[in-house]
Amino acid sequence: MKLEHLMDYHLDLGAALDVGAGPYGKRLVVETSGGSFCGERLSGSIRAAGGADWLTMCEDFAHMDVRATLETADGALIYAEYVGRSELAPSTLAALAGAGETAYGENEMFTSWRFQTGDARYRWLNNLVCVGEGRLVPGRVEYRVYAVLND
Amino acid sequence: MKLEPLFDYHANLAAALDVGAGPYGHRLIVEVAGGAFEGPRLKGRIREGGCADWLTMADDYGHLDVRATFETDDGALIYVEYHGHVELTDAVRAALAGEGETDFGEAYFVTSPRMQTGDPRYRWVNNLICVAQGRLRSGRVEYRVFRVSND
Repeated sequence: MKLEHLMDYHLDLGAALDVGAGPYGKRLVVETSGGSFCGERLSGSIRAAGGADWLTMCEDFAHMDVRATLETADGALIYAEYVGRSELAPSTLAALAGAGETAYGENEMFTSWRFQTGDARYRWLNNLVCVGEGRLVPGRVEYRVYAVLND
Repeated sequence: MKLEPLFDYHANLAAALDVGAGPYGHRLIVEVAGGAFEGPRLKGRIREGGCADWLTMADDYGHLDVRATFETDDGALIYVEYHGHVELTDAVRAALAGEGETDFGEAYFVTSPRMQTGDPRYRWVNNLICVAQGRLRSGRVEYRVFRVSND
């Protein structure tokens, strides 16, 4: 099994709304206001509306739960959802508070992606398991996303 | 980013119940009758109750939606859930019908397991992003599970 680069991806972050502790833990809703993605087989923009991270804050990790609508440069709509785990290291907490940034591989920040589309040109995405690594830079989150493939 | 072996497991397959085509596609419920898992940090059995695959068949792929309860040899309970995709090749279809086997990497058969536990000894599994590759053997499905980690 191997990882093959699918796309680089970024989301512009909006407000982080502290919903407080409910039955499933301490929730933040992090609003997103669009973004873009670029790879050999797919590139385009992320719709500004209808995307957010319904984040759960655990002991030393934040658990991401994200939905986004991707619109390819050639007009296909792709519904993306992913879960992730982000280690709340001091540099991550500082970057979340708007001070500084983190680099790929510095802390644990991984995601697991699923895609759904009816567009015949991108139907292959429906059948892929993908994972990503992330980092925080001012005002946005960036991911490198890889398809998990057979050798 | 790399894939690091975490554990192997198998689940014993019982009846595959054809629910038919509903609003979300053609559903099969594949019942699971226990199993076992083993890795350097995690070893035990899969409980017989509460484990099945709510499979959706579409476009030459089966889309897995599995829940299972893992019980470690030292008495911890871990709730496991995952989505995945399996390519419905002739060999996979035959193996699902009880004829023949498939091997790792032969068809696309990849999942993304997530784990939840409150047991302090295993709390680290809550924060993992994992992927697995599967194969079909006589009467059972076998997986190799990897965690995503930094280089």
